[in-house]
Amino acid sequence: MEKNQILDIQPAVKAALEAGSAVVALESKQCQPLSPSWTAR
Amino acid sequence: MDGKIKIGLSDQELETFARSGNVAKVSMRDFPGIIARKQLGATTVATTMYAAHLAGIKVFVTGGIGGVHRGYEETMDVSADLEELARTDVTVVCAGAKAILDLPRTMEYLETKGVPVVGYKTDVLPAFFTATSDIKLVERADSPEEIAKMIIAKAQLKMGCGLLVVNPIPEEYSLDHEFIDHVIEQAVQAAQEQGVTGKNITPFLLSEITKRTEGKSLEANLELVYNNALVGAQIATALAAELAQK
Repeated sequence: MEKNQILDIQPAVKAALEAGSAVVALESKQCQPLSPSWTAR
Repeated sequence: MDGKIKIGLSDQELETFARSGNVAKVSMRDFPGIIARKQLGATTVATTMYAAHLAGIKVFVTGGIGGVHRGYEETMDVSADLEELARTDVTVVCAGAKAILDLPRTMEYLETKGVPVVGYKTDVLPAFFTATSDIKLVERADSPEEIAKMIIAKAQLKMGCGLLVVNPIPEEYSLDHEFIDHVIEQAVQAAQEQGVTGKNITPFLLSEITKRTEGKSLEANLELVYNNALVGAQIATALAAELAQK
């Protein structure tokens, strides 16, 4: 992921991007990296 | 916010944002000034695409994109969203261009710029508040995996542009064509009478349409966004799976 001082990325989003996770949803009160099973709902 | 592009907001930031009565609409031309002055701003599709690209996000979801405005012959009002779709490599999932626009000319513009437009389980362009229009699409996909493969093919082709996925509003929330077209005509006329132009035109029209439909358009707007979020998540998941295999 490109480092850029102008970006302020939420930690959960950053973790998901760095891990190559597919989906981050603003679900409930937390940003959570989600597994593919989420999308089956 | 605070001179930064926020990718995701904390609860506190979200509350600050929602309670502020002074949030600027930030299109590309506004971006440097808003950040330099540390103002609060809400991004358009164009600026969100750009921010997603900077952050390494490949798919993002919105309600509807901007496009060529009605009366373009006189105003030359074309949304910067179209230009960003032409030059930024991010997939945008939407329910079509907002119905307040000139949809045939919007599609012509995208074709000129070489932006792939893919109907998700549809052969015709959805028109935001309605699931269909009379504009036929060239590309259709019936699964997130098909779209993921198109995203990868576009990257391999080094096209550098975005990919637009048009996902119809669920039928149960789709408004009646004649009803909403009439309301839009009335709202456009009100904008002309009140001299509303430029960046104020879309918020004005959407607000007028909400009033004139007694909230039905707002409900439709929310539902189409939920539906786009689901499809966008499925596409992102399929894309991650495809990339993991390569």
